[in-house]
Amino acid sequence: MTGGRTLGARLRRYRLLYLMMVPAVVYLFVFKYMPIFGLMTAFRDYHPTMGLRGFFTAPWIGFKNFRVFFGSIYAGQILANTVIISGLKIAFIFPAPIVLALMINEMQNTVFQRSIQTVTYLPHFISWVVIGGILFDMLSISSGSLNILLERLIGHRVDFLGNPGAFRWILVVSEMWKEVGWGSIVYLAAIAGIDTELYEAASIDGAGHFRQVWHVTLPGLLPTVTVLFLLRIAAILDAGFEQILVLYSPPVYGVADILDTYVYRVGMTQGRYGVATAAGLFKSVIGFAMVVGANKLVRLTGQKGLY
Amino acid sequence: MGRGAGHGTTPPYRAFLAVLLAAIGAAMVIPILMVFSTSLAPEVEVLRYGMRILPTTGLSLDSYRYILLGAEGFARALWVSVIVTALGTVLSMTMTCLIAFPMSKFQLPGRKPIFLYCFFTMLFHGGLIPTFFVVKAVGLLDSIWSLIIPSLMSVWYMILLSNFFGSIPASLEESAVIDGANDLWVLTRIVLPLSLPAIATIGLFTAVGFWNSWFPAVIYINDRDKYPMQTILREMLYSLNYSSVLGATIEDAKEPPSAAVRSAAIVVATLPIVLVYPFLQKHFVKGVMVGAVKG
Repeated sequence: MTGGRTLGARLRRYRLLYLMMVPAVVYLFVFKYMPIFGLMTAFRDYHPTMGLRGFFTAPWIGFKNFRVFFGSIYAGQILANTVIISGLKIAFIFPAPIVLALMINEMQNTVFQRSIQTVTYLPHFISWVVIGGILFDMLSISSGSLNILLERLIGHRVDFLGNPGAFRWILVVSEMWKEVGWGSIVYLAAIAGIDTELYEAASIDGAGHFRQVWHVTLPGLLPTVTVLFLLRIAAILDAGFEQILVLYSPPVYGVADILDTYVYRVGMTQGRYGVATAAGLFKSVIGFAMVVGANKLVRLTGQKGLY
Repeated sequence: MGRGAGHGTTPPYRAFLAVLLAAIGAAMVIPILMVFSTSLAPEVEVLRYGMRILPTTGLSLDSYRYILLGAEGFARALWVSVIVTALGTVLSMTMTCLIAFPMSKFQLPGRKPIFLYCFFTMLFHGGLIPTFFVVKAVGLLDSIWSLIIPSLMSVWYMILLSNFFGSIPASLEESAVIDGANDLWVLTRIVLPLSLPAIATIGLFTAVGFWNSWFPAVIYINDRDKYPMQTILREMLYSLNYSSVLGATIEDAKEPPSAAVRSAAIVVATLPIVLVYPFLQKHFVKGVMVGAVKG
């Protein structure tokens, strides 16, 4: 009895705080949780005119959409593309900010350090549409400056963006250009957080500059690297939706079509909502399992993890 | 460059790294500079010689005149972008601050389950198609609100802000509460003014996010008059990408959207970000780290 009264009193005391949460809680319910319920339409014969009620009432058709997706000749290709593009990005883009941070850290002139940071962080804030525009201006076969140069040097032009052999590398290089500087921030902070006494101790033990980097700086970075690496692996099905959507075209679909672009094309441009939702549900479930798994691993390494 | 006063001579490896870093820096700036130069060049020159790093002779403002005086609906699209960015940022920051404040109060009963309710949305997504269904069902299709409301809140920014609010000494709030102030007063008069660096950082991130966003309009909006500028820009590229097989010749130089016009559009789309960037940079490293240290 008294417990109930205390709770009532506490709720009154905090009434305003609860009211402050209402807009965000309602927003998340409508725009984040309702779409999760909407994933059930992968198992239903749903049409957008059925509204939200249709998420729960449209006729049940079982795994038909999944059979269509996984049975199609594209499924294997799309999954392979997604994993290969992500894998290339992890292999080449993940280490880049670590190297950049170590290089910036070697500089003794703080003005130079800061200028490099300013310049390398900037592309992070430029949209993929704009970067796509810049790439077209450089690479396009009709008016790209690189092609005009190539014509003069080797006598013919090269269709970079329509070339299946080159396209994935364009994805890797352009994303590295955009994100390498931004990614280095967290490593620079981690380097700054290393106890200077460790360097002094190493120095007393006779370690030269490079041995200090090897035995103090790198181990100091290891926890951050581990956490970010595991989280990046967990996001392996995110191969860069906006980037690919901006840059790809039919000649390179075979090497560039990933799960997200497939969902968009099949769902939004062909109107085959059921199959697209089934592919999307597959991606959400795998993504969720991977993040939970990654978090477990992070905790096993003795760190705090994501949650 | 790497030759700091009092350090004597620079070891060769360090000079090498400095040159390498300078090259990386140049690789970041040159493409942006090239677009700027191209936007100022006469079209025929662009087709003949490609892009230049620095503006050549014969500067021309034709491209800017072309896009800003109505062609392709670019001026209207610019206006849509401004409205979406302004409204979106204000609404998003209001809603995020309102929930981040109670979330910073660990003694609040029910805080943990509500936090998990928010956090779960970062781990599991309904995805593109079901979100489209919801946006359609609530009647936002073909309205500029569809560019604002579905991306109104980032739970990650909420966590960053609530960590920041939580780091403000409780004693500051307690004295106000003893004087009879309510929680909303404490938030707006004490907590927010003390959190300006964090608010500025996250507010600018949010604004850049709205300004750069082009995809929502592709799926939610049919009426081209309601397209924001980034989506118009994307359309230009799209038509270019799909027609590149045909190839353009110098005779086509009069045909928009040409390289110079596209470059001008890119400059207009990117200039606001380059202009706010110095203010952004002052804070964001600290802002990002608040999350990393506690998160």
